[in-house]
Amino acid sequence: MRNVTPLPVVAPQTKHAPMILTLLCSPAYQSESTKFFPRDDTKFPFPPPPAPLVRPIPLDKRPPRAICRPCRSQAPSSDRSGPVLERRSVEQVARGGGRAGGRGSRMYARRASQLLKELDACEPGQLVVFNSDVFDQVIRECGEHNAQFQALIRKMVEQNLDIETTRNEDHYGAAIHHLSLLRNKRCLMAYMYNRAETIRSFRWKIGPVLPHEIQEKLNFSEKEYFRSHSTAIKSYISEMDIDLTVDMVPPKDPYIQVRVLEDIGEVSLGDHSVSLTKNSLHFLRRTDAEQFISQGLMEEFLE
Amino acid sequence: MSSWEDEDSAAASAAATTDVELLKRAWRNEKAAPEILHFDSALVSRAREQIQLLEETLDDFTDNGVDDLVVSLYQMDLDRTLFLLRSYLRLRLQKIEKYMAHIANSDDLLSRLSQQEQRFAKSCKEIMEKHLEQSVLSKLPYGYDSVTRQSLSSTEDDMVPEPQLDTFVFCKTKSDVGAFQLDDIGEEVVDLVADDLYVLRYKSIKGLVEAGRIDLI
Repeated sequence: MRNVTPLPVVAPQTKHAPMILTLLCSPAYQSESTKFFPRDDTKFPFPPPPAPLVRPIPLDKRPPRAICRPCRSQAPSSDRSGPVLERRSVEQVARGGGRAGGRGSRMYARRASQLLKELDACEPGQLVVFNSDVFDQVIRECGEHNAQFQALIRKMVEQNLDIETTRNEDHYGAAIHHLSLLRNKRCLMAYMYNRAETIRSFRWKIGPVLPHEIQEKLNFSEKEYFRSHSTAIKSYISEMDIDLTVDMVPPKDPYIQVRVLEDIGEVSLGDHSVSLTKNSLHFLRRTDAEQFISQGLMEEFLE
Repeated sequence: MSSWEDEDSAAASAAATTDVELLKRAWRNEKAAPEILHFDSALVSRAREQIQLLEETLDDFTDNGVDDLVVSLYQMDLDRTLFLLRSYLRLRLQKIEKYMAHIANSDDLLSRLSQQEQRFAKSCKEIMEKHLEQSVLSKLPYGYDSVTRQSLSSTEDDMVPEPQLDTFVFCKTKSDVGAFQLDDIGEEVVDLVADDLYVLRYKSIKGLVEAGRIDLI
């Protein structure tokens, strides 16, 4: 294949050019990924120029760095059908290669952004069930992107092209796969990271044991994360010898009136013991009542 | 007997006012600042000593049958101080949780933490990394499996959440600072007068906050 001098991109004419631009310029790409993982956009859309490789990496594992130097005024030559067009998008392949109509259906990494939309639609501080279906699909997409990317690089190597400098259609095809993979990764990471943030907040709001309704919204790793994180907080608290999980709101009065929501039984508080039966009203020290309130066994009684 | 008690409690309360005031300031600054500030370990240990002292005094009061009203006033005082201390420590932990990777990477930020907080930050980061590793990164192709970098082609860490230092904060000057330069080139200069309120970028007044010349509110 000839090495064609790239034309400056002014008005992309091929059918697939809008797809490239959609992917790179889509506000979703920028807003969603920056929202969850703030990044320096000056480097966008391509990573910085290649630095010399420190150690040789087998060709099939070649990092994408080589094909991705900044090329602000250059884009695939637009007067011929490049492999980007022939190589249908992962979306299309996954759907049986049908012709994609709207621009949305052509966009790579759309599924990953669904995860973030789901996250965003949720009330702050609340969680929805871990979407393992979409999550696994995105992971698979990542693998496919990588396979395509490696294939394109291998093709260029087989043609004895210098992959550092060549700017042909394969280069841009590979760049798209590389960027799509990055976007997928950012979305997946943001999804997990922001969920983890909410999960951490449960430790402060609910306590070391999560109720069943929340447990079933977490995946295995998240449950483990909550447990380990609780242990870390617990060890800090015991090192400091001060309980940080009480006193979540500024105290107004040392005593509060509470209503017992569930039978608790005989409890000794300070110097006397109280029988806490369901629906009874008590006037307790705030510090004593707080632990029951956070467990949902009592509520503050406000007249 | 009573004069003894009076003197004692007067001395204790005088000392407490200042330290509680200091703690309140540290707490307010910590609450308003986007990044983690220096941990004042001397202040915290003094506050804890005084809390303990007050607890002992309270126990004495109940044993000696002092008026309930007096006891509950003392109790309220104690509760508030305890809340302040707990909230201060909690705020710091939550900040560490939020920016664990950023803090753990920088020696300057790490030195702002207490020993215990440093240990917490370390384990916090390890737990988070393990979680991300087993849920996402281990399933991604070679070259894309770093926690802090997007891919092998990133030359620096570009996936570490950092605090936004140029957000605006409300602050109150304690004494005259004089003409204060808000940016590097000296185009924006503000005359900071004592006891006045300002809304400024945190980045530009960071030095004043650290030096204790301005309070965040």
